[in-house]
Amino acid sequence: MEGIQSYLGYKILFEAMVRFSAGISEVKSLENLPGQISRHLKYLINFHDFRFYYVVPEGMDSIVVDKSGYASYAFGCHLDPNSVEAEVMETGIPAQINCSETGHQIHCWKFTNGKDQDSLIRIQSQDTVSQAENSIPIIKVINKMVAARVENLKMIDLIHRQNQKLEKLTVALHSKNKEVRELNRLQEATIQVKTASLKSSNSKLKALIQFNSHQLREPLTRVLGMIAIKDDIPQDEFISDILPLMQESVLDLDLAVREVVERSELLKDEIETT
Amino acid sequence: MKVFLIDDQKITNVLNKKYLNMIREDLVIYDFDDPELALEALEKEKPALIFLDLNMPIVSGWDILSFMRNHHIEIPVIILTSSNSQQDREKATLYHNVFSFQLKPLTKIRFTDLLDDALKSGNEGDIGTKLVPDQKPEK
Repeated sequence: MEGIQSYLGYKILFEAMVRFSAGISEVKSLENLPGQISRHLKYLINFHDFRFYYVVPEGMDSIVVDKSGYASYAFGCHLDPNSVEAEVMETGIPAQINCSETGHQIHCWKFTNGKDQDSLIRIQSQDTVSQAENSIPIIKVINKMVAARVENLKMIDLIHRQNQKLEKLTVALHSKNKEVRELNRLQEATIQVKTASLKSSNSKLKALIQFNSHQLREPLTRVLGMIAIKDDIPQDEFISDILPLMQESVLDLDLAVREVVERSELLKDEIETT
Repeated sequence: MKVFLIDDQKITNVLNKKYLNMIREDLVIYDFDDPELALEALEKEKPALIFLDLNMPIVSGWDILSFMRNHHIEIPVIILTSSNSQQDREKATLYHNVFSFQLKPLTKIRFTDLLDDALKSGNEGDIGTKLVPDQKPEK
C-alpha cells in the first residue's frame, strides 16, 4: 500500500515537472516567464512567495511569484544588503529563517550554474515541517530549468537586438548606396551634357574654319586676281573691263570679314558660357 | 581646242579667259558661271581641259567631279580654288582625272606652265596634282 502511494506520488511529481518544463519552454520572452512559473510551480512545491535571482557579472535579474498570482520580472535589480539573500549570496551557505509573526519559514539557496553564472532561490512558505530536506532535489531541478531558460531567453534577446541593429545598419547602407548611385547618375548626366556641348562647339569651330577657308578667301582672291592682271593687259582694257567689277568684289570681301568676326564672337560667347 | 572655265564668280572667268587668250590663240573657251549649264554641255562639247572651282552654290565642283566619274567622262581637270584647306587638297586626290590643284589667283606665268603641262600630257604634275596615266587630252 505504501509502495503504491509513493509510486503515485512520484508519478504526479513527474507529471508536474514535465508540465513545468514544457510551460517555461513555451515562453518567448523574459517578461512572460514569471507567469508560467506561477502557473506550474504550485504543483511542485508549497510556497507563499518564490524568488529567483539570476546573477551574471553584468548584473542581476529577479523573478518574483507569489501564491496570490502576482508574477514579475525585474532587470538589473539589487539586493538589500541586510536581506537574507545578500547574506547567502556572499557566503554561499543555505539559510533558513523562521518568521515568528507570520509563522512562515524562509529558505534561501545559492547555486553555481556555470562559469560566471550564479543564481539564488528564496522560498517563503507556511510549512511548519521543514520542507528543505525533502524538496532539495526538486529545488535543484527547478533552479537548473529556470536558470537555463533565463540564459536562453537572454541570448535570444541579445541576438534579436543585434539583428535589429544590423537591420538599421542595412537600411542606412541601402540609403547611402542609393545616394551614391544618384550622385553617379547626376555626374554622368553632367558629363554627357558637357560632352554634347563640347561636340557642338567643336563642330561649329570646324564650320568656322571651313568658312574662313572658302567664303573669306574667295572674294580676296578675286581682288588679288584683278590686281595681278593689271600689268598684263592695256590700261584702257583694265579700266573698261575689270575696274567696274572691282567694287563688287571688295564689298563681298568686306561682308565676309564682318561675318567671320560675328561668327567668331558668337562661338566665343557660347564656349565661355558652357 | 575646247577649254571649259567653271566658276560661279563671273569676274574669275573673265580674268582666266583673258589670260588663256593671251597665251594661245587656238583655244575655244566656254565659260560657265552656272555649273548646271556646264554639266549639260560637258558630254556634248567634250572639252579637252576643264578649269574647275570647288566652292559653288547648288552644284559644287565636287558634284561635277562625281558626275564625270559616274558617267565615265575622262577629261583632265585643273582645280582652281580659293580654299587653302588641306582637307580639300586630299579629297581631290581621290579623283584620278584631277590633273592639278591650284590656289587662286593664277598669274600669267602659272597659266602658261599649267597649259604646257596639260597639253604635253606631262607626267610631272604640279603641287598636289594627280595625273591620269595614259590619259592624253585630245587636240
